Amino acid sequence: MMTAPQARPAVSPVVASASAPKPAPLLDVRGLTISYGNARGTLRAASDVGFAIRPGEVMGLVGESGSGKSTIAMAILDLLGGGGRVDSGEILFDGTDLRKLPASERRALRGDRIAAVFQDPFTSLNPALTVGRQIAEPLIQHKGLSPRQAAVRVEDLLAEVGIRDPRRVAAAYPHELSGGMQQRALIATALGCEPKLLILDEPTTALDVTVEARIIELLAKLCDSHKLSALFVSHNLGIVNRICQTVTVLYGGVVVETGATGRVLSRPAHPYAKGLVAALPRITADRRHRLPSIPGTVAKLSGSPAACVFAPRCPFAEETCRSRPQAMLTDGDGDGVRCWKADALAGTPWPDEEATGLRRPRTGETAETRSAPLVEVDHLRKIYGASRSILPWLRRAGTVAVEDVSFTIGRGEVVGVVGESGSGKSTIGRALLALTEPSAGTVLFDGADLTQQVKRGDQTLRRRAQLVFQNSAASLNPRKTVGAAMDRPLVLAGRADAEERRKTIAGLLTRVGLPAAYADRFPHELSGGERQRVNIARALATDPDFVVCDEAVSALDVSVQANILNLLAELRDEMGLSYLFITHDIAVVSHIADRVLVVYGGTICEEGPIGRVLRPPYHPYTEALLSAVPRLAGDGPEAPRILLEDAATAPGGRGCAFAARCPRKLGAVCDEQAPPVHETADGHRIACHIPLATLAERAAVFPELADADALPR
Amino acid sequence: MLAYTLTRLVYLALVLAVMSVLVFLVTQAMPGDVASMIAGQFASKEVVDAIAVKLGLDQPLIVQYGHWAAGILRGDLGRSLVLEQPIAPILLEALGRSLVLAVVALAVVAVVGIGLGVLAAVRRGKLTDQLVSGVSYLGIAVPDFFWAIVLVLVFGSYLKLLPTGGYAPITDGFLPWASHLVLPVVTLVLMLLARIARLTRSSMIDVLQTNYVKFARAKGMPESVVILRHALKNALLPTITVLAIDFGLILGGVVVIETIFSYPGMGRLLLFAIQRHDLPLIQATILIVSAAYCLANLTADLLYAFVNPKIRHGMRAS
Amino acid sequence: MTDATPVQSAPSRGLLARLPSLPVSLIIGIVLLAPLVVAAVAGGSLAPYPYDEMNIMSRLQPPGADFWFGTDEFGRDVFSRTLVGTGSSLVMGVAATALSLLAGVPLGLIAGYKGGRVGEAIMRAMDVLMSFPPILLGILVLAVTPPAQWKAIVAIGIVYVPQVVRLTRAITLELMQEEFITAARLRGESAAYILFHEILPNIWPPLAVEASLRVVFAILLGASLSFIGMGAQPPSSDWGLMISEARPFVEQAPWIALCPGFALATAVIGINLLGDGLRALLDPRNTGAH
Repeated sequence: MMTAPQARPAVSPVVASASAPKPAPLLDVRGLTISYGNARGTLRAASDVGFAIRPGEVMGLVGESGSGKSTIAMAILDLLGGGGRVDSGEILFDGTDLRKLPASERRALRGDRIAAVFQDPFTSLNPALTVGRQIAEPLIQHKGLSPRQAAVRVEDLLAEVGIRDPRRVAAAYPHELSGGMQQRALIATALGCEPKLLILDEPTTALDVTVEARIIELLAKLCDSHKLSALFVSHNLGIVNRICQTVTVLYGGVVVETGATGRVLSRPAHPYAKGLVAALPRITADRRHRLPSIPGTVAKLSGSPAACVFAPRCPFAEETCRSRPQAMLTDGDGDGVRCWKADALAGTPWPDEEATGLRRPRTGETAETRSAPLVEVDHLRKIYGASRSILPWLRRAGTVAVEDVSFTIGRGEVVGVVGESGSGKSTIGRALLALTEPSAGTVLFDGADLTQQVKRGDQTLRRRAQLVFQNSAASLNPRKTVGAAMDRPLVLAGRADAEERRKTIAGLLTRVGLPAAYADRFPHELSGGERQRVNIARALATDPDFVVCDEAVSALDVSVQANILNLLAELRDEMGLSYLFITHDIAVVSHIADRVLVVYGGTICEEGPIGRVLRPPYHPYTEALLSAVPRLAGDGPEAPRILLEDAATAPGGRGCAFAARCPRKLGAVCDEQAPPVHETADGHRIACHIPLATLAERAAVFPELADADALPR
Repeated sequence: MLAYTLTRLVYLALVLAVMSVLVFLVTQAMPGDVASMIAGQFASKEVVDAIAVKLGLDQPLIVQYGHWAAGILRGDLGRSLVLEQPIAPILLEALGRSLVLAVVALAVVAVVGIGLGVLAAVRRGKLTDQLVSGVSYLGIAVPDFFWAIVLVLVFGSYLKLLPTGGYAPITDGFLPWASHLVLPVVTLVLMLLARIARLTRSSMIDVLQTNYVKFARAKGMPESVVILRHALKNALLPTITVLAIDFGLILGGVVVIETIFSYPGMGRLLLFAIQRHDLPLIQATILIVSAAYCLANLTADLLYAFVNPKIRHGMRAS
Repeated sequence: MTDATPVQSAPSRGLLARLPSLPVSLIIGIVLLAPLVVAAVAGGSLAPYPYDEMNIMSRLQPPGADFWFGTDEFGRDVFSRTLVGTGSSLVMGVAATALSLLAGVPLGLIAGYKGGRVGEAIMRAMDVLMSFPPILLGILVLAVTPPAQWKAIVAIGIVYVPQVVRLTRAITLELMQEEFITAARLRGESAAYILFHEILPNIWPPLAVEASLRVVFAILLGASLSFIGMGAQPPSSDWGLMISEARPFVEQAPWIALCPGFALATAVIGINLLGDGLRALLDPRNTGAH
């Protein structure tokens, strides 16, 4: 009744063979139902959830926001809080139902037999206590070590999680450590009492991609060497693919599919899992196609489901799906799927939205494209926090956010900016919109200096350049309806007729795929994806030529992210818009950008047409970024990962900004001299001391992209 | 931290300088004229003028201010017109008594207030919480002078347990000294307790919802450790600031309470000076009271910085 | 966040219909304050006796049928005086708060929005004002000229300007970081529009809560000033002044002080609860109200 078991690829070295008798599960969750209650009613966060984790196995619990995955992790830890309540079900740990234990015994298990690492290392450590003391606490509490004994063990633990200077780090306060170091300290804390089970709740989501790659590597290594079992809660399929042997997919608080990671991610059986896998932006995909996406918004349950939870968004749904709740269908190997059509759909891929699948030709691509660029950035420099003072100890040079950046954006062109936190990518975007004044250099928009115009009070030019924000909630005034927010740009543009404005607003909302009636709604009544559509519609209201998208899809769930990326691509094609697309995700940018700037420490490392940047020669940083892009089981072989050191110091000084973390650093020259720029005829530029020929010798991270003909544009 | 302290000290000096000018100008604008006060009601105009010349009162204001400010910098606060004594020793004595009041009252407020606040936060929404907030309301619902009167009435007049006013130096023995302090301290505590308890409660509730408290629980720490070691240390930051400011307030003289209990501190001295139009005494008292208040504020900020490792370990100075 | 939640049409429902969903503290606060407001407005006409009618024959009478709350040392009816004094106390609190808001909000908005030298100058001036303990500042202002109630109001108003400026500036600065303000700048709004249409509507809820607490402090500070003879002047019937006048007779006739004391307590608790209720009502997480 499921896909043929013999076809399952053995992805995990731990699951030795399918025929050997499986050991009893370490964690066995059965029929877990959790609800949150408040004055407005109850919300079912998990319905009849069941899964098992065997000793030495890492299980991924994946789902989008609101799927209930973190709630389940917290229920296992007995840390639900905030009105959360386990209504029914069993949580069997080593054969004992945790729910039957008194609170004190469950507390004694926490941190000892069951340890946890949470999402945000920046807030998970107590700012008022030293790191060493926080790691020592469970050792003293559960293992009865004296503080002195614990201190010795703390240093061992810190060394084990890859911290070079354990003594110094143990004596440090959390704010003195980088995010990666903090997460390592949290992992050391969790390992301290040699637990049997780790609960990892999105342990790398708050980290930069290159740091994330290292932490995942560390976790995989530790789980292997300590024979740890782990519940790995994540929304990131690529990471799950990398570290988990089995995976359980949640949707709307319901398990829709479970099975071996390789099988689920390469041949998902449940329609939702199919959609999720399909919607993930892949670097290797043909960019002329729209990204497959899941329509609609994530379901919220208020009671036990009376129908398939996914039916409202499912392209394969039939009448039966909407009238009956679905039962879990399992086979002998522990694979399971909650869809009665799973067998019938076995070979059917997730459908493309449009029959053609191809985008319409772009209107902007005319001779005009080759004429004068729309945006010209010349030697832009921005320093924050510099201050002159009569008191000598208050004078400071400030922090360099952007150091000497020059580039252009053509009409109808999409330029991507890829970088990690602190790379200066957002500052570049703000400078282009005259939201921040450059410390040096100029930004010309359509040949005019935007900053100077705005200073003089001339706003006409500025309205032609707009911004789509990351945080869709904060970018809308909570006290204004969607219509009111969109009305102002039109009023300012001199459109006096209220009736006509209303029609325009309705038109814009329809254009971004929202009902015109949404004009009367308040921002808090919309979902994240809908708010982002409103943001885009508002940006379009001034009829701009140029839009800066600052992490515009980063906060969205994968299925929604694909929707918004498609919308942005459509708008560019139809209206001839230019974008500056700022993101930390090189896979996302490869889907929409014509050209890419890779930035690090306020400087441009590499710049060029997207097809060129994805192929060697690479800047060492670009290479590391590309190697950190997670791939799914069905997508081909994984490239060897290039792991960067954690940043010890902030970039700055005279040399190459990347020198401190560069795995291919030549020597003192990298620290002391600014790197030369190698430029090729097709506009590909790399700033590096390593000769271009040497850089070109490296193997391609994505071999399928190595052939230039495979790349459109 | 050093840079921060230095900046704040420079800043404090500037504020005090501006304040001294303000105080000087305001007292100049007050009714009454020093020369005629010294000369007495029936002195002739010539006598008054002569005294004015002798005191330099005929000179331009700026020169007079210069003399006055230079005197203060030398530690000479001038002579009181009414008491006909040098001001410095009088002020010092009053300041010492206000200090005693401030230290004792704040010690009680800190212990009781923080304790109640933590209790209310941990038992949030339960009966204990409501009881604490009810008691806090009672404290701030009526002005301090009303409580003072009630206390005098109950403990002084009816029960005759405690002296209703005055002050006994500690040289008279501990018991008389302490018994004179009880009622003013209790009044002050009633007045200040509510704010400290409520502030501690709300910041404690915030801290109890942080990730690091959740993580401490995930480590299996007992609830007492979670609350006392992990939560309280962070929750106390705002409370410490307010406590230090309150300290400055009491040090600067709680005019009303000192008046009711005839407690000879800064507040009563100031009121006395104003009522008797003793201009040099007014100027000196206000200046010292404000300086004490500013110093307490500064201490509050420095203490905050010191308790907070984020600031202590070299954060920006501004 | 509320995909599935049906839209609440808050404005279409009447206040009475929404009553059950209003915070309890707000309702209690209103119930406590309502009689005081009535007394403040109609004080004189409700009072059984003229507030300043002296009667040597009925000095220091204990509460009874004739004088519900007794009489003071001049034989004046304590209840009537308390009733008439309501206006004086509430006006003192509200007027002083209004004054500090009137001066403080624009200064805070400018300091937060403009920043730079102008903002710096405003904040430094506020720092100097804040360097005086509140009651001292009041005394200083009042000591210059003969005391009068309107001067006390001005003095209290000045005392609280720095707090209002600081709060307004802090919220403004926070809002300036908000992306919807950036969006307004991007579409070319004027500074005035951003200040009055984007920032102000988001400032007034915390300001309303703050103002309600300020009224409490102002009433208490006003009572204290009257108590030391620098606020309302005899023979007017301010609560603080009444308690002050009652002090010498407190052993023989405690009722003279108790009646205005209870009135003060009612006002303070009522306004405090009102503030708490407002805070709960205006909390943006409380999605029912926008």
